[in-house]
Order: sequence, then structure tokens, then C-alpha cells
Amino acid sequence: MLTGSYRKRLEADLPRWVTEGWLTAENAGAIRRSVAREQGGIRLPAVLGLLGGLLIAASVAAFVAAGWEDIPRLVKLAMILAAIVASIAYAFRLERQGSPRGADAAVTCGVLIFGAGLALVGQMYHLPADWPGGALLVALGGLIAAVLMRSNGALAIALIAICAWSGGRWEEARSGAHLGFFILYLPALWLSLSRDNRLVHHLVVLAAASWLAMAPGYGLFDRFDYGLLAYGLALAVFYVALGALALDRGLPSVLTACLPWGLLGLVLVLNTELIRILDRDEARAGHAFRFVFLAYAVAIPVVAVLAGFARERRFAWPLAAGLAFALLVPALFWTGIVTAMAGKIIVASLVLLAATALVVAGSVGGIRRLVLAGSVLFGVAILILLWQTIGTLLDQSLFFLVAGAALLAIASGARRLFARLNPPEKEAA
Amino acid sequence: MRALSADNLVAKVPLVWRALATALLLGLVLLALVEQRARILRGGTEIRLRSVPVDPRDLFRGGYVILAYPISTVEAEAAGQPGFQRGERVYVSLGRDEQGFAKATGVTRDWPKAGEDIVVIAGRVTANSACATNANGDVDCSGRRNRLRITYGLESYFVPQGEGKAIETTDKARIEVVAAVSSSGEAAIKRLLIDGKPVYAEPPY
Repeated sequence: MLTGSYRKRLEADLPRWVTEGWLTAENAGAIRRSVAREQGGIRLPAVLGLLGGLLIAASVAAFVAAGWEDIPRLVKLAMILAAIVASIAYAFRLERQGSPRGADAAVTCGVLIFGAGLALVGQMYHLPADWPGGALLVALGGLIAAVLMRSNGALAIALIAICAWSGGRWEEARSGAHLGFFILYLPALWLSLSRDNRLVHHLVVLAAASWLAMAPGYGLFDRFDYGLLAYGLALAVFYVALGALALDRGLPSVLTACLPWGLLGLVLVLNTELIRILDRDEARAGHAFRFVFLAYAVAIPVVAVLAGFARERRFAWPLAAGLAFALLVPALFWTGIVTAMAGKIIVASLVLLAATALVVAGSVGGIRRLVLAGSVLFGVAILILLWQTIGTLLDQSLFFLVAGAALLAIASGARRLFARLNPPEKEAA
Repeated sequence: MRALSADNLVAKVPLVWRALATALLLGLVLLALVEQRARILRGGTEIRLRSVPVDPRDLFRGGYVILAYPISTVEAEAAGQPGFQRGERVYVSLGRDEQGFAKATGVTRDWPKAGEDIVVIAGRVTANSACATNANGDVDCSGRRNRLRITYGLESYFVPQGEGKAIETTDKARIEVVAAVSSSGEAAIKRLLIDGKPVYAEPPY
């Protein structure tokens, strides 16, 4: 994955490496050319083209919404069809001229006009405001264009429409998981595996997350159950472990997009659990339901695989440990000791340990996101602990003192520990 | 892995064919939707529906008017019909009252045996403990709440921008809708009448 920040970093590093004598000026030039080639030439026209295409599609949508009667409906429909054909024809021309990004923008515009056409037909025939049904058709159109024209924009639209359709049907039925989701999601997932577009990767991961979030059923959200926090935590752990594994083992890059979203979920849920256990009324023994067990049954093996099969153990082991600490938090709620002082101390310690483990894994593995997530979790956890103390402020002070001393002890032993875990390979020369 | 990549498989087809297929398929989806509705309007059986008031705040939303009918709430028969679920597809048998307006005579999960002068319309359950709407169009929540709220795809009527207010301020009892119901139970609005006079008529195309 070559991002703009990577190229900037390289531009800063290459001259230094040349002056240090590690790289010849010719090699540095070859690297620059290779990176420039992979970045796909000049992007500006394509970006402006995409924005222009979006504006044109918005204009068509507003025109349809105005319900202007002076133009006969069939003429309006013919205009929409002509606009779709024109977009695809323009995409064909741009692709032929060697501008795949421009072609992508034109196809995206075409799919959006197709969506406006669906709205027009709905208006012509007074179709009810069945927006999930409309979203399903947009998703179909997006997938067709994404497959045939190899468009990332159309795939992104399709993924958003799939979520809207599935979420709408789920909300309507007020029942459990909407299984129809996978009929369209699996083809979209398959397409995304051969794409290197980061937006598509994130949308694929988020679409799966939204389905997983809805899977326990409408009723649980209606009357909120704290078991949902445990479910969310297990899913977040699963996402983090999967993303980390994908980074470490070089799995399809779509899976690496799981990492930031998993980390976000992890930080949110752990801090919520911490607030909850320190609150006098909310610190109640919880219980797990079927989906929590299912999520744990998926998360625990993936964390175990991360610990067992990662290439870089110095990075994987602390991360797996941190995730395991996180998974223990809901388990403590189930035991019922959370109402006692001991339970509060253990949960607070587990959250701080998980945060520390994330920071350690991030620094060792050079993954800034992990360091950031761990630091945020750590910082917010301390703020929560100061705001809602464990016992009195004096007890809280003692807790921080012990925790700080323990961290310092770990820090002093860390060097030796890491050296033992994964001895650096001796250089040949 | 690379051989099974979707993009590599698709790339074997020349770009010109792919572009043609894309434009054709997107156009066909739109035209199929048009034809499906036009077929109902061309060949469907006509039914007359009295309009009843709905929550006035919801009446005019964006570019369309929201309509409701006496058949929008249907009494679920107690015998032999286990509870209907939200989102379930149901078939409602329609008879006629003295004035010729449609009234629901029964609701079933499967296509009912059609008798003389019976039109069957397909709908989707949106609530399964709704209050009834009585003959005056008022909501009546007394008695058993075993009625189903059902939508038939006749609940919105798009009007040119600015004209929605006129229908909104019209007394609902004066509004009448003529719908076409296809032989498979799908329905589409054909005409909108006020005081028995057609205000809007929908040609198939």
C-alpha cells in the first residue's frame, strides 16, 4: 500500500541514505521512479473529474426531486438513460486513453445517475418510500459497474447501498440477523480482494462490522443489555487480531483495514466498562447471551493464532496479551465480584494493562496506530479513574502509585525480556 | 490466488463489450422497473379506495403526499392463523361495500381461493398490534388490538413541487384513489380524485 505519507517519508530518507553511503544515487533514483509509477501518474485531473462527476449526479438527483412536470416523464427517463450511456462511454474513452482513475470517476457518476433514475421511476409510479428496496437496486447497479468496468467508486457505492438495504430490512423485520446481506456482500468482498483502494477496503470491513453489530437482533438494542458491550468487545478484539495478523503475515491488504476500526471499538468499549464498574448503580453482575459466546469463540482462536503464528513475536505477544486482558473484563462482570472493591481494582488494572500492552506492541512493531490507541485508552482510563475513584481519593492515589511502580519495574526488565523473546538476527557481514 | 481474482477474470473480456454490457444492464434494470409498474396499470383490476387521515405532521413530506386507507388496518382472524410477523408478506381479499369502495374481507399468508367479485392484493405487515380505523376514518384503539397494519405500495403519491399543500389541506374524506391490482396482487395508483372528480390520472408510461 503506497500512500502519500509513505512517499514523503521516502523523499526525506533517500538523501540521508545516499549521504550515509548505504545507497547509490542511481539506486535512489530507481526507487523514486518505481514509487512514482505505482502511484499511478498524475492524480489531480481524476480527483477534479470525480468531484465534477459527483456534482453532475447531484444536479440530476435534484432535478428528479423537483418533480418538474413541464418535461414529459418519458423524456426525463430517456434523458437519464442517455446520461448513463454517456457516462459509461466517456469512461470507456478515458480507459482507452490510459486514465483508469478518470474512467473510474465517470463510472461512479454513471452509477449515481442510475440511482437518480431509480428515484425518478419511483416518482413516476408513486412507489412507496421503500428505501431499502431502492438501496438494493442501487447496490445491484453498483456491483454490475464495479465488476464490468473494474470501478472502485461503483464498488464503494454498492457497499454503502448494501448496508442501507440490509439495515433497513433488519429494522423493518425487528428480528434477528439479516442473512440476505451475504448474497451481495460476498461478491463485493471478492471484488475488493483484487483492489488496492483503501476506501474500498475500509468500507468492506465496516460493512461486515455493521452486519455483525446488527446480528444479535433488534430486541437487544431496544432494551439495552450490557451483554452487548461484551459482544462488541469480542468483535473489536477479533478485528484487531485479524488486522495485526494480516499486517504481520502479509495477508490480503483488505484485512489490514480491520485494525483501526477494531482499535476504535476496543478503546470505546473498555472505557465504557471502566465507567460502568465505577458507577454505583451500574456496577452489576452481567450475563452473556448466545452471541457473546459465539463472538468469544471466534475472537479467542484468532488471538491464539496471532500469538502462535505471527512472524514477529516481539510485536505479536504483547498485543495478544493485551487483547486477552481486554477479553477478561466482561468475564469478571459475569463472576459477580464487580460490586466488591476487589472487582473494581482488577477491572481497572486489566484496562491499564491492556492499554500498556497495546503501546508496547505498537512501539516494538512500529505501528503508530497501536501506540495511539493504547495511549488514548491509557489516558482516558486515568481520567475516568480520577473522576470516579475506586474508594476514596487516598485509595485511588495508592492504586496509581502501585500501578506506576509496577510499570517502572516492567520498563526496567523490558529490554532483557524482548531480547530473549526474539533475538535480533546476526548480520552476515 | 491471483488467477481467481475477479478483476483478472473480467479483464479477459474486451473493454468495449464490458462497457456496452454495463450501460445495457443499468438501463435494463430501470426499464424493467418501469415495465413492471406499467403492466399493473395497463392490465390490473381497478379498485376504489377511500382515503383516511393520517398523522397530519407526516402528511406532506418532501415531494409526496402520504395516504392511508381503511384497508391499511386489517383484522387478523383468530382461527387457524398463527400470529403474523412484522415484515411478512400477506394477501388481503377485497370485497366491495355498498358504495363500491374496497373493503378487506380476510388476510392470509398464502394466495386465497378467489371467489366472484373478489380481488386479492398483496401487502407487507408493518405492525401487528395496530388500532382500528373506523368508518369515519378515526383511529379506534378500544377492544382487542389484534389488527395488522399493512402497506400495499399505495401509500405515497408524488405531486409536482408546490402542489402537495393543496392536497394536504383538502379534507381526507373527499379524496378517493383508484388503484390497479395485477393478477399477482401487486397494486399501483391509477387515479386520484377529489369529490369524485379526477385530479391526477396516471397513464402507463
